[in-house]
Amino acid sequence: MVRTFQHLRPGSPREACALKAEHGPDAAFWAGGTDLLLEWRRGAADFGYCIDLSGLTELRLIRAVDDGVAIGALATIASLQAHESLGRDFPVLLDMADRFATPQIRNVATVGGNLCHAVPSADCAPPLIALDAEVTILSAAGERTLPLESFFEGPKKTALGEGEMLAEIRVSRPAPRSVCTFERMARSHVDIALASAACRLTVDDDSMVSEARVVLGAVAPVPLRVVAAEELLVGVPLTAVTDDLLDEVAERAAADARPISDVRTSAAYRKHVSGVLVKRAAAEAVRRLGE
Amino acid sequence: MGEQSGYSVVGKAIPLKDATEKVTGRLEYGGDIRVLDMAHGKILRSPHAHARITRIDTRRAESLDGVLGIVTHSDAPAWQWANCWHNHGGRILDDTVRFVGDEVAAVAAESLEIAEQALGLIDVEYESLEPVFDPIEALAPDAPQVRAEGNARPPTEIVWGDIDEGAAMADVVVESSMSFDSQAYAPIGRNACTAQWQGDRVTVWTSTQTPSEMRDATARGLGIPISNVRLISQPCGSSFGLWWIGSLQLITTLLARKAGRAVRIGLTQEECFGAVKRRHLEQSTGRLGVTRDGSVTFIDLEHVHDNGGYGLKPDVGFLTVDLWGSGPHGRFIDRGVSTNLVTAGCMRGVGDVTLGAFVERLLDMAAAEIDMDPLEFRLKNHIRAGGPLRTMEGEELDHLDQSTLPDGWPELGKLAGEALQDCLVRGAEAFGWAGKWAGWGKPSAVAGPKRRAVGVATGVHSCGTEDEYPVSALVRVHSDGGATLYVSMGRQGQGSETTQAQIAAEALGVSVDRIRVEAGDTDACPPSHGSIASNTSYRTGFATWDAAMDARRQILDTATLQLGSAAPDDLDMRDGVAFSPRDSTVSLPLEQIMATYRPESMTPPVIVGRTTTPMPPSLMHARYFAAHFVEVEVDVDTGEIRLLDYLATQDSGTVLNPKVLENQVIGGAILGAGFALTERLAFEPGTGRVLNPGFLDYKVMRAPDFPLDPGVLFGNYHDPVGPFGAKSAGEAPTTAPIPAISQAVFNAIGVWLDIPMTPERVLVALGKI
Amino acid sequence: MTIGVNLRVNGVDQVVEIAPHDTLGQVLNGRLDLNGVRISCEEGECGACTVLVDGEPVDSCMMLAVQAGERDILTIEGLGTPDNLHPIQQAFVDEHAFQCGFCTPGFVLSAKALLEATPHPDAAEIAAGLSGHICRCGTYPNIIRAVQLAAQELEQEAGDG
Repeated sequence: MVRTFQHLRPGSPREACALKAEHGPDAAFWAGGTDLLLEWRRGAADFGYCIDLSGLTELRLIRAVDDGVAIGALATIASLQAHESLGRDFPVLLDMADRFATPQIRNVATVGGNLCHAVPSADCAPPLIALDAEVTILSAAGERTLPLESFFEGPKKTALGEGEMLAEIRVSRPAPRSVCTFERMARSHVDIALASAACRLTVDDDSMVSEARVVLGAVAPVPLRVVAAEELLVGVPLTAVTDDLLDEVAERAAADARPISDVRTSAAYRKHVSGVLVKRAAAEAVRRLGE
Repeated sequence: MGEQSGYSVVGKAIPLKDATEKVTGRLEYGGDIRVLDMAHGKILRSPHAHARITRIDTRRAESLDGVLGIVTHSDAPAWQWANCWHNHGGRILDDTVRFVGDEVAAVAAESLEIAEQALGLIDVEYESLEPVFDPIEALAPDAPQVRAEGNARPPTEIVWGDIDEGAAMADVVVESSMSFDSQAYAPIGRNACTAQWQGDRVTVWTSTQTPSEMRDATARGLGIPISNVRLISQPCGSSFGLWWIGSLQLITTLLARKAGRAVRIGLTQEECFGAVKRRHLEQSTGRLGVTRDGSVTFIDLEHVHDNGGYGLKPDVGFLTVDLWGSGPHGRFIDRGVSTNLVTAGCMRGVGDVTLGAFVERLLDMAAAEIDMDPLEFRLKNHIRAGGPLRTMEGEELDHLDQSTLPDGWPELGKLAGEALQDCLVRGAEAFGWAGKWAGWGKPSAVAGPKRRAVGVATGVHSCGTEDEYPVSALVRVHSDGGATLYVSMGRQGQGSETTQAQIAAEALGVSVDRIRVEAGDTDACPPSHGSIASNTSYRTGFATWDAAMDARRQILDTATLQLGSAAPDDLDMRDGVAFSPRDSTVSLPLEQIMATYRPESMTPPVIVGRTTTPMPPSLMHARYFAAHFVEVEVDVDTGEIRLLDYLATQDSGTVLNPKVLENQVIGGAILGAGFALTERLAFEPGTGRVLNPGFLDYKVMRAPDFPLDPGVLFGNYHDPVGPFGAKSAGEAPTTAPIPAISQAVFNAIGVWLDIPMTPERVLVALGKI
Repeated sequence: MTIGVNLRVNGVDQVVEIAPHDTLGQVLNGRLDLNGVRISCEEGECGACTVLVDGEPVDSCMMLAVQAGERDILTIEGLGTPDNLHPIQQAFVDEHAFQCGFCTPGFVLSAKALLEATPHPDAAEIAAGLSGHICRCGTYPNIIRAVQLAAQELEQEAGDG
């Protein structure tokens, strides 16, 4: 008996959710499959049913909506790069996509898949959390929304319940003077992030920081928003965001990092670099806001 | 980098002979071979680092439908088989396992899936033995013994003069240590072996750098006559020393005999990275003395390298001792030691990459102490023509009577010549060294956390070696005036099927398009030293040249006979035509010569050129050299080291094919730079299992990781022995990147690091974590 | 249990019986004998198994064969022939853009897609665009030159056509 699975190909999100509800943990949603295929092959994931989502074409779209953009869960990373206006409104998503894995993987890997696989180093998470993204979750019972920030519960563990499927990621267009940046550190040009950081700063008409987001990736069990670091920036005039203040922000953010040591690098390195990346992301945001 | 004048095809950048096959995906590598009725095999591997197999029961596996045969240590001969250069010594299958991943058994089945299932049905009981993973621990007399011969090999010592005198002469003595993680070959081309018995004869298809050696080792390993083995070596993906003779090939051959069917065993990425071979774990410690005016007075160092489970190398092979051995005193000691890690052996550049980098570091530290430019320091101290080859110190040289050597041989025991001086001087100019060198430990530019600095370093390697195997080629001329060169060698990307054809064409006097090369079939090729130890351009090239010259003489003798009374004494051969340089009316095209029957026998001429001229022992006069220049930028906050600019220079004598050599030089530089910055195998504490047996976590360079337009420059030198003056090509380029980048990093941030210089190590050295 | 999938490979439709877990790479190389689809890392790192699916480079070892049904698949075998090389292949030959050649089919196919999206890429764009490929022989500088040469050739061809 050769180890295999049954291939199911629903034609609609509703049908997909129904199949998942029917088979429970013995079924897996298969989007691009670039993570899941490796896990299945290694035996790290085992299931009898592969619910192939490639027929759910409407979930591949990136649509302009009233106040921003709705990214279908099955939009590929390449489609983020190819979208005509996404890069203009949300350049940080382009920055992230340009450095995501390899061109071949980008053609197949999906935003939703990256988020649902939920490894701590998932690149899509920090910039989307910094943009206050919300996710729409479908099930037989209907749909619910959740801030992306609350979507992650642990390494490879999300808020998705049985029979639930991530359908869409919504990002509201930020205020006119708002910049979001993304930094990542890796061993070479193509690599899983050893540490990453996203920073969004918004300034009001008086050039005072009215809103800040500082999000760390790969240095905690989940992508981590560090509110205490953000608070150091809110209410500060842009011109008063000095190098010293950025050092404080970085230090406060890194203090919350609780990374692991593994074959890639040590916890000490990750913790140190997470601070460096926060500082650089914030400094770049300040620089662009000053332009 | 211009093309060589005066030759028809040597020196020209002709396209590779197998270019079309490579670019259309049609080239067949070892893994592509399929034979009729082929069964599929899988190897069962040990989960333990060190254990004795107390019981192995294959009955459950054998009864699985579709299983055709299984081999275990009871099927394997009791004696050990041996790899080239002591890279392996052990039984084909043993009842002791010596590293996690060591071979335990192999199954042949109708399909790969069935073979995989059958592995799980083989019942094995192990008695755990104490393992040892650290090379220094393994040297201790009470360490767990990995092999019956003991862990430690006899030390290799090269000594000249008197170290204490050298120290006394020195104004400054520097001291240091350096350690090297284990580099992996990390091939893209996985390998496979397919073996097919017909009666008591076996044909074996695989990719190997060493066809003759593999045929002989297979025969000896199985205890059958050499003439019963036909090894057909396919082109390799990149090898760098990985695909020599291996357990894979011997196990497949054994299994095919047991199963009574042709069997193919292919290796997965994980097996290629973690269960075959790797570069040694190495460490050096030592001192170097120098006078204030920059003359090296002594070098004293000790080196240790681990051999893993089955390696037996007493030394890592280092010609650095020649490059920097012109001073009056020296002592180099190298020790090899077994450990319960995957077998370690030769990888491109061997000890000249590691021990060589350590000597370059000592040189740099000394130069820094006396505040001498590293370029100037190297120019002052490196070996020159006539300099002593310390590798050869000892009895052999002491009793050598140079006057009895054949005509045309260079003096033995001394370097015949070099263009390293030329490379360093012209390289420095091309790189703009003078304008970029800011002084020891001084970055040339600082911008925020980024520090820029330059570095220069040198490297060396042997031009092949007369040890292990002679070289020998055949050139057979066909009836239509074409010819086939039969020469046993590897085709692992070094362009040898092309450059050897260029040598043969030039010597024979025919167009290179008329030369076909057969490199892999041991039934056709005379036994010859495989493509290792930088053998191919130099020693194999000599054999090819000699065989082609022999064929040329036979052709001209035949032409003379055919021309009869009209034949002048001075026939020459060019573009496939025998002609008289003095009388243009006297000419005979080769196809006509080959078509004209001999009157006494009414048979066409048989022209087979053979290698008959003994080649001077290369180790005793020839070396080739590299000098690399690099500019780096270090980020002191993240520890990242970026390579901004790179110039690789090389003295390979006459350049046979500039594009082929350029690729070997830059390819070697990228391999060395990868080791300098990111490449390291990680071993699991307590088991020695390779934790990163694949490209995901074994990081090699991609296009954006190395300067996009590096410079290449070749030194001007004509070797007295090599074919048309050529020397070797492939390994020296891997030796210079580590020391060049190390020096640049020191200049940028003031620290010396172990290899690879990961961002984490940079920050630890800077005291930031 | 097998599934019948219609694979359109190099312009030819064929229904192949596959297991659900078969990858496109396994089917192309192992079942359809397309040796130019080189199976190596099997984890989406090295790019040797790259094919074009609807014109986009994809690691065939990372895609389920069943997900490639009814899509246009181009392998190196469908690009040029030994007697009639595609300009990109010819440029690779001319610039010595390979050593062992194992990674070459993948690079050529990605280069094709890259040049269709960016007809005049500079060296950095080429390096980034081909970052999904490992050349262990270290031939990157000549690969970049080959792609630049190919860009010129293709532009000329387009001009002539």
